[in-house]
Amino acid sequence: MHEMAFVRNIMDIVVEEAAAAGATDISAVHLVIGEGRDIVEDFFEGLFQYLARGTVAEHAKIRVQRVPYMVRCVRCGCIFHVEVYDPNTRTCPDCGAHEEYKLVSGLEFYISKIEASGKAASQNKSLNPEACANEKPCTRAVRDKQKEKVAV
Amino acid sequence: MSDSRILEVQRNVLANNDRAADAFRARLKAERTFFTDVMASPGAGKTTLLLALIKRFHADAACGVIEADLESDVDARKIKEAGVCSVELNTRGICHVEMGMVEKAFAAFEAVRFDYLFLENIGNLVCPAEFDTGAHKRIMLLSVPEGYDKVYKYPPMFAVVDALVVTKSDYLPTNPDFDLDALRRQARVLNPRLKIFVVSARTGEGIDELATWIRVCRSAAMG
Repeated sequence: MHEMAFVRNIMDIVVEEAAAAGATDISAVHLVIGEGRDIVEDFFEGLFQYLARGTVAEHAKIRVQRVPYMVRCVRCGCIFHVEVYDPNTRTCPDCGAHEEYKLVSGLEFYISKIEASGKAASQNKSLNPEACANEKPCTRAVRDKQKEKVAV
Repeated sequence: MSDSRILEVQRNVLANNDRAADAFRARLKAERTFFTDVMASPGAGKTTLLLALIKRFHADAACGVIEADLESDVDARKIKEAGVCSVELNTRGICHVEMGMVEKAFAAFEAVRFDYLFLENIGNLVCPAEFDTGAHKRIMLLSVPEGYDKVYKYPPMFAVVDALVVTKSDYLPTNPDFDLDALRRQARVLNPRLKIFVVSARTGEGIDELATWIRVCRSAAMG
């Protein structure tokens, strides 16, 4: 049932980002989820649809990109995939170091992007991509990207 | 006029909880309180191990326990009856502990200061692994009667902890199928630096080593 905690946070972020961008309708929310995150996607989407009722995300689809476990070799820095069930994947393909690595991905869980639309006239803020570039309404996302821990 | 565009967001879904956890860790460090999150499946021996550990610390250190449970105060009472300061954190059916719950439980100690604070997390090998509880170290227990082959079923839990404590080692002679070497290999798949202890609260095996490791971790964390 911990999916509810995630969905609640996602809804908060989506509504906040939509308001900041003057978007009146969210058509998709893209999530990046590490393979180590125990998420039942069907259940997750159902919860999202339930919580999204009456919000700008009411018609939004959830798009999930799963990220595999990746490790960084502590000897040579090579980044490679470790398959939990396969002992043969625990050796660095570059330098041959065995089980000398650190997990660098596979536990992340973040919103990568949101597909939004809106009536520019009613929002007093243009949602035209070119206007977006001029007015830099994405500054907030950039700032958050720097500020927040996205990795494990 | 209506158009659409992509908002590049890149926001961690658990950012609020992570920020609160970082702040809580820093606050406890400033108070020189070392906080350990203890996770395991139900019945792995969390409460019994905590009592055995606290017995080692009690003479020269103040200890406290946040007892998290889905329902009831059975474990909290057990800890209190042993003379240890504890607060019950009843999640009322929620499968994990988040920072808001930890902060509320900690406030219930009413400014009592501890050298060692423990969180006995919800008995569950899945959900607690997902949420930072503000602890300086996270440990998990796996009891011999549960079987050694748990890594492949719950890899994230083994990936996020600093130490694995194999409990109820006094059952090893009667469980020849419990392959400790295989467990050691598998447990380190995603976590090669994982510390592994083999203990029995009943016989006392390994408890001193675990207590020493926690003391060393406290010294390192407190600076």
